[in-house]
Amino acid sequence: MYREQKLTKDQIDRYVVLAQKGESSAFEALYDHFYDQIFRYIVFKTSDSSTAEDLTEDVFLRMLESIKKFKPQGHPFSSWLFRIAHNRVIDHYRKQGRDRNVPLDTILSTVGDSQTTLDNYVETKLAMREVNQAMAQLTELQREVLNLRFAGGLSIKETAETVKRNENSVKALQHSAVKKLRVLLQPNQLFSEKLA
Amino acid sequence: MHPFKINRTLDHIFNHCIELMYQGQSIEDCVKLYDSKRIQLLPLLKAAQITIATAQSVKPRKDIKKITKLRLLSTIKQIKPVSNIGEQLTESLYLPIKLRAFVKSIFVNKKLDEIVNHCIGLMNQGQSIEDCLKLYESSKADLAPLLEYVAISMNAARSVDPREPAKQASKTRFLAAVNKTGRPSRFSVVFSRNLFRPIALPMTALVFLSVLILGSGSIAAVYSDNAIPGDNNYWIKRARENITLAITHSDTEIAQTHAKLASTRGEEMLKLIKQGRVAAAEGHLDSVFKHLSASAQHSGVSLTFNTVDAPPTKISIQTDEALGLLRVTLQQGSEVLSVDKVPLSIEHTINGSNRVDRIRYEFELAFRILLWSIDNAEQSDPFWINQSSFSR
Repeated sequence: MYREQKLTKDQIDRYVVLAQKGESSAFEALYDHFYDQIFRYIVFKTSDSSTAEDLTEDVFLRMLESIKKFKPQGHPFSSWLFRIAHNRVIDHYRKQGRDRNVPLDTILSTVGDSQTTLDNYVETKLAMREVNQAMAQLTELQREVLNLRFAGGLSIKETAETVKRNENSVKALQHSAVKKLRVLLQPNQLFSEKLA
Repeated sequence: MHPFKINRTLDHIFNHCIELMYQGQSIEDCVKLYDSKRIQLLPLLKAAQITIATAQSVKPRKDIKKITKLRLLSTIKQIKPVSNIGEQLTESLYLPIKLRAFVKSIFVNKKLDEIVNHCIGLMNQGQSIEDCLKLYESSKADLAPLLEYVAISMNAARSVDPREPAKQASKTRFLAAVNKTGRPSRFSVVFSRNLFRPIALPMTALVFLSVLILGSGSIAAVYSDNAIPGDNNYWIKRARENITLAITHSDTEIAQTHAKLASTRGEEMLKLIKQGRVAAAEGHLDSVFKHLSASAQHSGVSLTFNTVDAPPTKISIQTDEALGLLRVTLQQGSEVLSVDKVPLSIEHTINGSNRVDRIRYEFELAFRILLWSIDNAEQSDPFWINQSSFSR
């Protein structure tokens, strides 16, 4: 239902080895597998789809430049790639030198083809707005963990590697974040906020 | 709102009853309100009542603190096997403000975060909330509300799709860059095979000698690669560039060569700025503009503000790979003097830092205009209307 079932971990590892040898088909396979995940991760961070497209492309160009430096040795490739994406977003904000709170209109206009019916479309837009507002009230690390897990679709191990924390700590962060989201997203909470 | 339907009433009822009990209502008052849930609700509320009463009876004295801790622990163990909460209990007893949250929290299984995590993993793999609740029937009341909000957040996060044309264009450019830089070296492939190892050393020596002999004639040319305006051998460098342009025939290659030369001028400008020769760097900007104009001309892009006489043109480069290469070259070129990507120390810019910044911005802008024009050559809107695109 959620995660695109495309490449297994072993397949990814094999493609990474081939990519390190310069095999272009391996790059293509990795690109196809990770593009959407990286895009969603970035769009959730930047709230701007065209910026996310540019940054996602840049992430893959950086991957191309430095894939030979990647040493598997127990570290998932996805964590390494998402780390590049994370750093690229930080660079972007540093370059922009502005507040991160971007209007949501741009992100809301990018609700994808998967939302086919009008009802679904409107509901998803509302949900996205609410989730974004709620996410903004989480801590930086909680937000990062949820983003990697939900938008990026990473496992706990991959998330832990990306945020440089141990797995138990990530589980705890995730749990506390979900609990906080639950409070923030409760209907009466939203209603009272709207009234205010 | 979302595709998952779950029963969250017990959880809400429990919370409501706790609130009522804090307001002085009895368990029976509350159970009467929710008679259909009496069986599930009653033991939970009794346990809650004991805990609240015990907690509220405690005074902050050390001896009582210890006794209460033991009493509470034994009470809770009878209700639900929860371990290692002694410290939490005693601390919470003396913090009335946290009391309410604490009373609720002790009814949550300590392993709930593990369960939630497992369910998120399953949902990531395409399972539904119901699938997961079936696995953890006993934790359903606590788990279901949490998973509901996980599903809402996950749906929201996954509902954003990249635009397919942008994705494909990006892929083309990426693969062009891969073909340019990621191709394996044939020599490394040859030498990596065991068959050729016995002759690897003599072959290396032979190749080395060949390079030495063939390259001796162009030592001056190689030496001039690092030359900048004002150096004695700078003319050699420019002459070689002109020869390269003269022997290049296809528009695609000429556009690519000019883009590279514009980038080379930028590298020279950087060296000039580092030497404090700001005026020379400034004068060099003209060469950059000429190269980029030539690159645009051979790409088929028309750079003009006159929308009537020169409407937007279609790019003349035919293959995606060539276009991707040109784009990558321009992208890399735009970063040669980038204020954000190429830091210059104060001593390099002390003589006219404003001028230096202006030079760098103009240099980068020239590349970005061409890049933008290439990307939008086939759009109906002329680029000057979308000025905001430059501030991306």
